[in-house]
Amino acid sequence: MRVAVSVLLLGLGLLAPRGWAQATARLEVSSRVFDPKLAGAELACETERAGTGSYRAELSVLDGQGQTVRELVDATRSRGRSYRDRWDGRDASGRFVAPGDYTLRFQGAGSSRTLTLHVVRLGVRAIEFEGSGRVPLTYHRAEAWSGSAFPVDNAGPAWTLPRSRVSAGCLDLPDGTPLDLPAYWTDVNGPPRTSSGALVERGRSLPVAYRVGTTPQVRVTLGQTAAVGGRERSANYPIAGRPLRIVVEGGPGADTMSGELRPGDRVTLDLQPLGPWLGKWLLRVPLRFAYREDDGSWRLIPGGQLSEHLLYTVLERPSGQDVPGGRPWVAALDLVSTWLRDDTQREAEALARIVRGINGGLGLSYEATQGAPAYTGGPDLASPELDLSAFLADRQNGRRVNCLDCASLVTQLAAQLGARGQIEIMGWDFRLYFLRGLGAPGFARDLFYGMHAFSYHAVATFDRGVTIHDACLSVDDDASPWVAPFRERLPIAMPEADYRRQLSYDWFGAQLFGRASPR
Amino acid sequence: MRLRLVAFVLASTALAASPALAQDPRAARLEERYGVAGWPASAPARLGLDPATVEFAGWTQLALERDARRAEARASYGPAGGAARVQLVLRRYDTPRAARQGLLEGLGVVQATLAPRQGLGDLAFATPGAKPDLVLGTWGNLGFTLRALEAGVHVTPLLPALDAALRETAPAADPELVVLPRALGVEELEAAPGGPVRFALVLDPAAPAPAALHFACTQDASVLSTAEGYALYPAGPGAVEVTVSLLSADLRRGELRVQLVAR
Repeated sequence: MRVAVSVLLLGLGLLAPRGWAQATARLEVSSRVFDPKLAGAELACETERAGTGSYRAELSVLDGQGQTVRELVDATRSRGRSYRDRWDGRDASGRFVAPGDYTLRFQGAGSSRTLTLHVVRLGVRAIEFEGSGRVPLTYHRAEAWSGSAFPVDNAGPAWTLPRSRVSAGCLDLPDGTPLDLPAYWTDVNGPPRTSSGALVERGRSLPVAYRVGTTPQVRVTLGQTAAVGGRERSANYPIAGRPLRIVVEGGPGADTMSGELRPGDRVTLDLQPLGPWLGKWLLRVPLRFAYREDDGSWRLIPGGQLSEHLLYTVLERPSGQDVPGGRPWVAALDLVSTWLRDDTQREAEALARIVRGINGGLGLSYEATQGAPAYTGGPDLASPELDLSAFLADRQNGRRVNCLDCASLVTQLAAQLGARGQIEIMGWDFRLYFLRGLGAPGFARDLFYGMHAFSYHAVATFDRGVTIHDACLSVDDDASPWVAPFRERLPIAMPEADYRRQLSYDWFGAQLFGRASPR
Repeated sequence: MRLRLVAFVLASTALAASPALAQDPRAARLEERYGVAGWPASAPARLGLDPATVEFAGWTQLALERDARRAEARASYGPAGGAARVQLVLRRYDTPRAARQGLLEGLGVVQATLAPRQGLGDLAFATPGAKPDLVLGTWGNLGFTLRALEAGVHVTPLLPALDAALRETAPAADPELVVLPRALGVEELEAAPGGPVRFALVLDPAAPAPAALHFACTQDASVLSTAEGYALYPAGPGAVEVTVSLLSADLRRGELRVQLVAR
């Protein structure tokens, strides 16, 4: 799994009260708006006293009543030298200060400088994924019973903070500690549940999927309040004259946006466009907040919020005829993703990897005593039901499979990525050259107790039979497939006429096309 | 707390018909290959068969899963504490005729031709030879498949016990009158506004208890089971039609259709 969007390091320029350059004492801060509970948040404070010799420096944070809540510096320092100190937003007893307006005061040798700090409580409490490239997903088996599909969207927003006991919109635990950000949910079968079986509706990060190359959007819902000493407190914004905005690190700047944040707002943001690669990713969404400075520029507030999501990238949204509801199964995408290397972009590459994955990546073997399927059946040979649930459940029906299983798996797993294929049934009753079934140690001519003939054979095709994919068996791809030596070829986009020629010396002309439906 | 409402029951029916074998070009060839015209008459319909009661000497039933939607069960067997070696699939059809159709479908997806196997059910086919690793057959309206999960394992020693279990099943004198697991309706439970629709099934105490359930919903809705009943998660506002399949331990299947409305 790869990281799709990484966090950029925070840059901290410094701000100073107007006219500081002419003064003998200097006080600068990295931001006038500060939420100490954001990840990585620290307020940088730089102080300097002109002249030579030493002086007694005091740097303190005062509340609205002028009471000192934290003494940051009380030390002897050298004049003419700049000092950088940091405030973590906590008071003298180590607790986060409540949102509100505070004064930062620097005193030294008779000079004093002050700055007003707006301590706010920022943060997103829910994230929904949007955009034209989004592909909704399904958990195929949320319950003990087969067929208990659960569309991921039915769970609500993909990402939510846990619910605070203070209120639904509060960003903190009652003691003021920020709520933990949820880890991404890794069970590919169903959504997170409580011990009583109920859906975990808050405090989880569910997987998402997008078409390759598209630009995901997130619709974020801001938290509304903070908690201090078990009580709910205002988040202390909007701030008169200092509008706030939310941005994605590395994305469009706050100056390109409009409006002003208010607690509880829902804001839609573009993420960085996705690359062309198929697979499974860790998507990190680094959210930052910004405020407008006196000069009209936008300044990032220290710290941020980093959400993590499992992301699958696919070719297209599947057809509803191939995958129920057109929603890929998380477990199926997860399996296919194990076969897609970092560089898989095109459908042909993905199909090749799926065929090779089924053929050699799962410990399957060809059922060589009668060619019976383990996962497929139903009244229509060309359009079987594929028990994909049992297959995904650690090959519940065993690892001995037949051609119909393989063709169904190739087409169905490819369909989950958005590649539209068909099962092609070849028939009827034809004898075979040397073959190597999947999992077999070598080429043989002894299938079915020496009968070595198929009543039918199933392969996958993505161009209506012009070429075929067969994860089930390799043919001897030389001029004499009836005798050793063998030049093994696993049929991947193999011209059908060539395949027939290498497979059998009988004429077999039937061609039926259909699709496997998963259950 | 349970509320008064029994949701609108759309239908409470017995069974859906089994699909007929599609008329593909291979159907006639398949019927000829397996001599369908000469198949012996089916045994009478059975009440059902609980796969949990099917035991094979020297083997342990390692897993059992019932599929209420298909009136089917899969049981795996192997040495105690070891890996599964064989799998038994049992399916109860509406009628013996449907079971025969199911058998023919099963034979149709096998690439080789199986041989008739005597002394098992009322009709069975198996891998040719003395050591089959696959057997398919019927006994009345019951269909079965016994298959080895590993190469080199054969199922011959298990066949007498399977046959005995089939023959011990009670006949259903009139298949139309077989008592199926039944739900009378659903009771809506108290739920938070905007949250899932919570409900409980109101089971008919005179009918067999369901051993497995399946919920199929319209509108892309989904159902989760909780300690206090069931929770319906709709994809949006509006009515959701829920088809509840109830399967007894011996694979009798009933069905209930109700309509629930998200609030």
